Amino acid sequence: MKARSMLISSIKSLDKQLESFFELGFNPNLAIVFTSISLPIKELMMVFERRNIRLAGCTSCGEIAVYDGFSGISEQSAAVMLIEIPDNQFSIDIINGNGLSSYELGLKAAQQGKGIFNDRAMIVMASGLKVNGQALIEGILSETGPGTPIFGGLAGDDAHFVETWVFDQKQLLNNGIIVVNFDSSKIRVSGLATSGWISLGADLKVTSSTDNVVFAIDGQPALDVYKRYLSVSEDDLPAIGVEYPLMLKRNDGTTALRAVMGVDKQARSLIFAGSVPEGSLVNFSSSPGFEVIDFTRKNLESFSLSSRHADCMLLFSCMARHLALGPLVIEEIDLSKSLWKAPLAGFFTYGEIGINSAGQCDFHNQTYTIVLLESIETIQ
Amino acid sequence: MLDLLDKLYATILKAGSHDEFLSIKDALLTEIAEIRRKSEVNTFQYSRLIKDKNVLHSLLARTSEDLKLALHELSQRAEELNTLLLAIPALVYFKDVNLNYVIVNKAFEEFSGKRTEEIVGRSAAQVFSEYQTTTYDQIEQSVLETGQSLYDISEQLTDKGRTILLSTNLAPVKNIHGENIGLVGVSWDVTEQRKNQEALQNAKDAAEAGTRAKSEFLANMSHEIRTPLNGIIGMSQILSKSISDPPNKEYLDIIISSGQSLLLLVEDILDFSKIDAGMLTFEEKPFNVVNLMREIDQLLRIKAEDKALSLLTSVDKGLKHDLLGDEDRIKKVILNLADNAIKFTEKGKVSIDVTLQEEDTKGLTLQFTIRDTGIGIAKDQLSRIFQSFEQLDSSHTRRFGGSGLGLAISHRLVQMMGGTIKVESEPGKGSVFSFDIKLKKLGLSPSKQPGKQSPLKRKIHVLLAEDNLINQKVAAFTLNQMGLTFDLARNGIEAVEQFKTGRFDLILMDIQMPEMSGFEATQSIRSIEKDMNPPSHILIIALTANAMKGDMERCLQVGMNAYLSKPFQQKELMGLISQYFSE
Repeated sequence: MKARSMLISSIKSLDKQLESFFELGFNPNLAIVFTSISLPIKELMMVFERRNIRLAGCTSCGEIAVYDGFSGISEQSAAVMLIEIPDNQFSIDIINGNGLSSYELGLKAAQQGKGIFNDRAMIVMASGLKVNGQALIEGILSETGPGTPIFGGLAGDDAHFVETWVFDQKQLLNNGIIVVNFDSSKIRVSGLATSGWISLGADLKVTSSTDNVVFAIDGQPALDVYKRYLSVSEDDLPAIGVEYPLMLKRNDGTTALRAVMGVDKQARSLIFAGSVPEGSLVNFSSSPGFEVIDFTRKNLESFSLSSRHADCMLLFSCMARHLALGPLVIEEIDLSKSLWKAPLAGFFTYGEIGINSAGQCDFHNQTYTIVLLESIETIQ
Repeated sequence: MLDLLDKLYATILKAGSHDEFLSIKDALLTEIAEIRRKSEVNTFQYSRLIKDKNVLHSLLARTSEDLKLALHELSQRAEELNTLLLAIPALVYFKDVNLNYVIVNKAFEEFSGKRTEEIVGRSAAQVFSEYQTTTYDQIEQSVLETGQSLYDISEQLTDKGRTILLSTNLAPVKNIHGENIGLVGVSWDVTEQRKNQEALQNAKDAAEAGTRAKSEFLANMSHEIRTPLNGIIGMSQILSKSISDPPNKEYLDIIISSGQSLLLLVEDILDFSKIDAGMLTFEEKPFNVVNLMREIDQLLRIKAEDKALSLLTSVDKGLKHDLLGDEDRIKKVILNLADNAIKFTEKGKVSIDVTLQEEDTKGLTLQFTIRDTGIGIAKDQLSRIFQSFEQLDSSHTRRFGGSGLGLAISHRLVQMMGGTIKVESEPGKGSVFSFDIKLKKLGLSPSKQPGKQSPLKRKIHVLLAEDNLINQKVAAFTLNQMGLTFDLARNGIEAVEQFKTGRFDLILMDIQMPEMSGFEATQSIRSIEKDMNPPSHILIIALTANAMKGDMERCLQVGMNAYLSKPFQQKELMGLISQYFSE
């Protein structure tokens, strides 16, 4: 596997960069792209179609790239990962989510890529602000079983919370899912989702909810609960609900963070990125401060003991980490750069999918989810 | 950042000339860029901290408000619980994991005679010094270990010479992490309650013993009355054969019919007493309705013909199954109703019809209908016709006789067999009595034809085992009348000995005999038969004055083939004999 990443701010510069790579003898056949909604996405798609490069991409909320000793984040740009691997080692499926529940969408995506490889790993991006990330991953896992490595993120729209997209070189969907399946016998995909967010305040009880829509907490409308406890106005949501998400206490003792993705002012309800079952206990949560970078460092270092090498990396980092760490967020990105010294492309997300330190594949918010791709021939 | 600025300041001061300044320009720009970067971080950190602080302050303030409210609610709940604890008459206590009291209620204080301060922090052994607590401590320990509640533990303690019985419930108390932190106990003083229970039980036992004694008395009386009655009726019948002068013959016939009426009365009273005492049990034995109706037809035909009435019996042709049920009781009800019909009908006919009402795979419902063309019953009297001791008109008693128990007994018997009995009537035209009974089905069987008396094909020699002299004479007379020859055995031992001679076709076996009872004699005979080569099986018919159900069952159990109630009628014995010997 050969891979190169880049951060481009226009279609023109994308074109130029690709040309220069071809001249160097690098001929990518797979591109994974995370782009701001401010770039002309259809033109971007055509660039890859014209060059016969298979494309899997989604919109973002800030882009991230590491290459040639450079590491950076930017806005109104696109982060591009270009990969040259044999065509028979991956496949791409893009599925329209209209008329499907999140669970059905996940199930359908997993069924489409079934049977091509004996074992597979999946990179998943989903669009649609009403997508229930938890139900989506449950749908996928119901087909693949728990052993399949699955990583990815929910698409963003530069914090507007209006419309998000996924695309390949031909289709652009504002409610759908795109999946890159890798042949696990050829490509090793591993990764880690790490959060570090801490819970604040007393337990509150979700008294009325359906899937990922919460109507009432402790008998009060969910929107009013956020307003009252955090002393914010209605217009501060959903953004404030991404920075200060709810921490959900599950029956099995684990916790999950649930960021607010949308608001229904009429119903005074909040739409979360993942399921919030009625009757469950929740707390508000917050980043512990800049010390969260140390938490990430420790987790990544211990993960690197079992995954020492990477040909390239993808990073799905929650937009809330950008908001919480500001300019220091680059320090967190540099952690992966110095540990694995491989090209990286990533974006700030509205939600992440990945394996946590307990070894379980789950839907998350607020995490730094790093994914390592490595050709197994390179390992040998 | 200040040190960076100081450094920058010093560097600029050191630059003496324009050229010197130009030579350090790049270094200065680098330093300024670094300062700018750090300043940017600082500014972000500051605004971020302010934002976090605001959110956290708000959250803290709201959480404090919540907490205050929750505390207020909690103290109110605690107050309510305290009031409840005070008011509750049972002893309530909480103990910690070391089984020392933590909280006790007022009733507990009063019971122990100590104040809360003297109880809390102490164990049961310390609070109740005279009380042996080891066993109880073990029970409490097990509640803590298993986490399972225990209910109604009995505890007995002696206090100031008084024995107190306590009933206690114990439940473990857990903290929010599910760990046992102690237990709660609730004890009731059940001393009075137990005393009352005992008294009630004693009263119940006494009442039941009384009922048993009453029923035993009735059974004995019935036996005692039947034996002399048997003698009176039997001897009078013998006498009646040899007397021909009209006035004396008439007197004797009155003695016989009065004796028979008395016998029926005794039987009715016995039946009714048994129903009343709840002693009546029902059997489920195979029987055939067609055969039953043949037998009933035979029994009633003479009575009907005596009054020049025509008697019609019919059985639904669809009835092909043998059935399971209490044949004797059904027969009793039909006979009661049909006897009445004959009794109250002067001319015309009496009919008995059996129809199939419902049938499924398991069982069927039969309806028995008894119609007569007799005097009928007035409408206002229909409702109380099935009540005890009720004859419609007291003049009927004089005219027709009877205990007035027949219909009440029939009504109760049908009810107890799960059926209903009904009556329709029009005075002067006749009455229709009907009852239905649900019965279980047995397999299909072609009905046998044993009821019909066919002439005996051979001579039958009978062994009569009977100790009572009068009964011997009555039986002898009947047997002679039937043209049977017989030998006599005066007790069980003699019966067994005579049996061994092998001369007999049939044994009529009394039950209550000296030396050896009929039961023992039968068992002995059956065991002798087993060793015979080839094995044989003689017909043994019990003659019993014991109308109690248990005795009849026992007759069959010990190996008898049938039983006859004394005094037996020629017809009954004939019916049985022809069943076994006519083919």
